[in-house]
Amino acid sequence: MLHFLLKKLIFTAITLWVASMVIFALLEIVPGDPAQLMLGINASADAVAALREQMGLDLPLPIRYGAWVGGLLQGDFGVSYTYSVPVSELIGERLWVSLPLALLALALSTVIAIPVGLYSASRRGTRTDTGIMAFTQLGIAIPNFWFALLMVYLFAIWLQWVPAGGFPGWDQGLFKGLKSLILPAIALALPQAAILSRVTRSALLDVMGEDYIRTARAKGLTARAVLWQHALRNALIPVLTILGLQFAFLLAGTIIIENVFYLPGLGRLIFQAISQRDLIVVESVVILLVATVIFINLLVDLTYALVDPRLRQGTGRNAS
Amino acid sequence: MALLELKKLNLTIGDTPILNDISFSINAGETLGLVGESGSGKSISALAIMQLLPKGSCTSGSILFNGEELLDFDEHKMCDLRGDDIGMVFQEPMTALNPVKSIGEQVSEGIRLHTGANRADAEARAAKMLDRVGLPPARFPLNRYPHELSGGQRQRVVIAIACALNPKLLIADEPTTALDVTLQAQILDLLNELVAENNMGLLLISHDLAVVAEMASKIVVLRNGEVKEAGETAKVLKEQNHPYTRQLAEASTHVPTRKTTPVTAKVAIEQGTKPLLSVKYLIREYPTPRRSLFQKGIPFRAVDQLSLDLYPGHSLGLVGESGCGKSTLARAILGLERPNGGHIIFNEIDFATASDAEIKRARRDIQVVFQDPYGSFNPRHKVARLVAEPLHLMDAMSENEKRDRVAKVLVETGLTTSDMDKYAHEFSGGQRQRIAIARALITEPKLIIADEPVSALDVSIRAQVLDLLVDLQDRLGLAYLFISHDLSVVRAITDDVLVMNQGKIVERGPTADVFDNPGNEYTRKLVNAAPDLERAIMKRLETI
Repeated sequence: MLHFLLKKLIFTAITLWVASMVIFALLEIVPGDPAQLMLGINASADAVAALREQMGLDLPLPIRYGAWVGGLLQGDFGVSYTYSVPVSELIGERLWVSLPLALLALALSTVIAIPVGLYSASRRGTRTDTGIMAFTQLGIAIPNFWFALLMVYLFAIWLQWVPAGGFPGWDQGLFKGLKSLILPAIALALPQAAILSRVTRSALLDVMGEDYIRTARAKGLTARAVLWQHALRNALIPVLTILGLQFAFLLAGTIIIENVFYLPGLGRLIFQAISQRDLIVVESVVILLVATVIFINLLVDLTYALVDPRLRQGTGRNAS
Repeated sequence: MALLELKKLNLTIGDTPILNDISFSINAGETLGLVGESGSGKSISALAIMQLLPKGSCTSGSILFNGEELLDFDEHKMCDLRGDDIGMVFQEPMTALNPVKSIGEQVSEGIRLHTGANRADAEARAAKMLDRVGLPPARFPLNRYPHELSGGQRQRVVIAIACALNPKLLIADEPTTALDVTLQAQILDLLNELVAENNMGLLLISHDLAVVAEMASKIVVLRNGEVKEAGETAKVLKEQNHPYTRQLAEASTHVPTRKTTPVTAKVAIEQGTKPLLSVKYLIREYPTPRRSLFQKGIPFRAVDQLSLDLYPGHSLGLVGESGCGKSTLARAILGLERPNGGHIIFNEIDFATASDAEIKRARRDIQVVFQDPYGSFNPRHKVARLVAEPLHLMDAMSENEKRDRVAKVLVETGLTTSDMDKYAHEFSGGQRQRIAIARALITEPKLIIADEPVSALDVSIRAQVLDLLVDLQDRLGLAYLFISHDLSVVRAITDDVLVMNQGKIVERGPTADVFDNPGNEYTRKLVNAAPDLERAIMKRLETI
């Protein structure tokens, strides 16, 4: 197990390092000079050059990469070109909106999808099953921003249960904060829940055909007990894989949804930073998102090992 | 009163009749053997008793267990019965256990369910049961997972689950078919002991007449969902009154007749014939996982300095338990594995030193037939393409020439030219194995390596395929390297035999000599463990 953990950690570190180089290189290639942009098109060449020197943009690439990564490792993300405040401060503020939003959406989609998948699988081939599966198909097909607009119309404008957009801040109380996050979270969660419930259903059905399910039935367990006690845990591996991948989609999805709901989250921050050539903010937010996704996948890998004893030995194949 | 009594049991799935008027009964302490070929309705009869039938099944007639009508039981009452009064053991030990639950959990689960015992008590009882089936807790603690056990050990766990609550009836559906002979003997002994200890009734389902003859006092012969013959095992198998019983018995001891004189190594050496294939000091190792971060694993030697000679027209058997390196050796000869040492010399070409072109030319003359014909065919290709596959080893050939060749080998293997444009799923298991043999013949090889070629086939089809192999050998002068764990098949078809254990040949010689007078402890163990129909019937007659 320790060996397994160590191997995973080393791979995670390497992935992060490669990702940081790719992000840095990509943003170097992108046209547009931040100094020029900050000063406007009428600025004199001398002023631009002076600003470039001040921002350290005139230094050679490797040195700037080194300075950036070195800073990151110490928690120093640099200073935003447009806002002139430390990037870490900017991110910190926004993270308190985006992270609860993504987690809420993830929790919602899981809480909806797994029972739906279980229910559908236990009634395989019936009208209920076909109906649920048709519904999930719809859930995958409808874009989440359009769904968000419909919900805003229904719950915010017509019923006036929740605000149509904006975020009051957590200092206004937990309930108020959650209230303005609930619609965006549902909008993010539903398409994911649709995918996840289909995966759960098909994974369960695959497992239900296995020999050990018959062994469990021959022990005297009811069909329902077998589904919960034997099938579910074996079906979790594909479900976890999708869950890990979905988290990345949820983070990316916030960029659109935060714009629909006027939420001051990371998605809007990165959207604005890109249009303003605030490269240092873009770099930092992207590396943060990448790190989160990699970390989530590490977590998923570790959970695999928790679920399936065969994966605990590192290779997983040496005993068969 | 009989423990279990089936009276005129009928079963249909959808509109298809599966079982037709099945009647038999089992008393406490008695073993009944249910035999028949695949599709005869053996397994479905067992599932009908357990009421674990597939959806759409419809039963009529009567299944009396302890005088109670099981067909009238609702699901709740059946759940109480399953695992408590009726236990069941399945064929495939590798997949019959839940991979994510420890063996302790899996054995104690049923105990807790039926007795309401707490976890600790149930686990104590599970440990006792595992000890009873030969898995002492000192060496096999309850927290072991199925993947940490071998096939035989897993089957013991399955038996422990089935017998944990001392059921009155045990149903064992092909419990040893997936195991090799020595393990089979151990598991059968264990079942016998459990039957005697607990005065259980045992319903033993098997396709193997010899196994049933050894185990069961009564026998029921099934075919196409109907009982063909039933009665005392010794009487039924000795007299063979029913033509189908006779056919089964003959097929399972079938020895194909050779028209040409067999080639043995002794004769070949005396006549100074050069070997067709010569393996010298062959070594094949597999890396094992690192023992720690800084220590590499010690490589596992699957084939250990092995040597053998095979002559033109020679039929050489290779027997041994699973994991002894048989298949690795075959794969090395076929060029599918790179040896770590030693030489493979075919037709005086040493694969270790020859040029690629020479090796390619030599490879045409070696072909292979695997155990599972279905698994080795691409389901989306027609037979013509499947059979023509090895032709890429030959010089370029026109489409018409290819089709002619395919037609020729199909006819040679007992199929027709019109089969060319069908897909693999349109054939039965035996016909598929014929296609596999046709595919091997298409390059007009000198040597065919047959890796368990008849193990997946029913006895009557097995007899036909063995006849075909011998007929081809007579007509085409083929040499065979025949790998099998089934000693009766090896005895029927090979001239010489090699007995392999832990990567080494422990005994070699003419097949009949080796099997009749084994000179080695391991060979003796293997021969004694192999069920033998004649021997079993004689033993049963003596005890009456």
